[in-house]
Amino acid sequence: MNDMLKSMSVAASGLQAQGTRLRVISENLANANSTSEVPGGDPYRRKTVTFAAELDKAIGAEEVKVRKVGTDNAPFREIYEPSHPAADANGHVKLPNVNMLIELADMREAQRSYEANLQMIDQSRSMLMRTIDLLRS
Amino acid sequence: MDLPGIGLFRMISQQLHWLGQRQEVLSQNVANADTPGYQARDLQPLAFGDALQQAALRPAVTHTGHLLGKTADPAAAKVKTITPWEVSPDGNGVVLEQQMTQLAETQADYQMATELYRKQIAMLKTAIGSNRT
Repeated sequence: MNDMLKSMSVAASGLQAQGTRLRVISENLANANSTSEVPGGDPYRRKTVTFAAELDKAIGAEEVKVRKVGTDNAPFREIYEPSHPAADANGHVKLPNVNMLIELADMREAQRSYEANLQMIDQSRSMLMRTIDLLRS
Repeated sequence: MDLPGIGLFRMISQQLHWLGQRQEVLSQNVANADTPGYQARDLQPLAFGDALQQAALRPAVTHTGHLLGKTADPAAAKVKTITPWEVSPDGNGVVLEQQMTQLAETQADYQMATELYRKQIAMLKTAIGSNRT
């Protein structure tokens, strides 16, 4: 495998990792108001993604992998709403520890990284084509 | 025809090879732009002087049994850690802007090297007298 193909494959791993990140972000956003089904129970807990560099032995380059989809241990928000089905004995309802602003910022960062990887593929491809074009001269 | 035997062609090939390796290193940096603790890397610059000397020195062939031998493949350029413009709180030392600058640089150099190659071929064709396209 030549350097250009390797570089494209590494960038593709980046695309995939950022894709997973975006999926988790959308899970968080979609469940920003998911409460528990039982009274006094815990609501949806925010998920987090961590990356790790991993050496792909087949091509000898460090790709990026999603290391773990973990959970955020931040405390839940609580509101007083006795009529809510998930309210506990005191009338408190636990809401997910999802902060829209953080998710949106995270989303934007994922988008930037995705774009950077895309551009990398684009450029490697054009360099490859340039080399092939030498045959035409 | 022994194209790599011509100094300029050999140097351009080396340059292309180096740029290809650099592209690979840069793509690793960009892919790991959000990996905690990852340090951005780059290649040692291509030693132009060495390449030049190597290109000029050829063993003399005084007997038909003498073999020129393959010139050593430009050994894999050394990878070094670079000093990033900033390091994020999670210890990641990849600055996308910095990487994009280097990417553009690589692209321009690659373009120049391939164009030089093309021109050199055109010159050879002129000498041969078949440059009628």
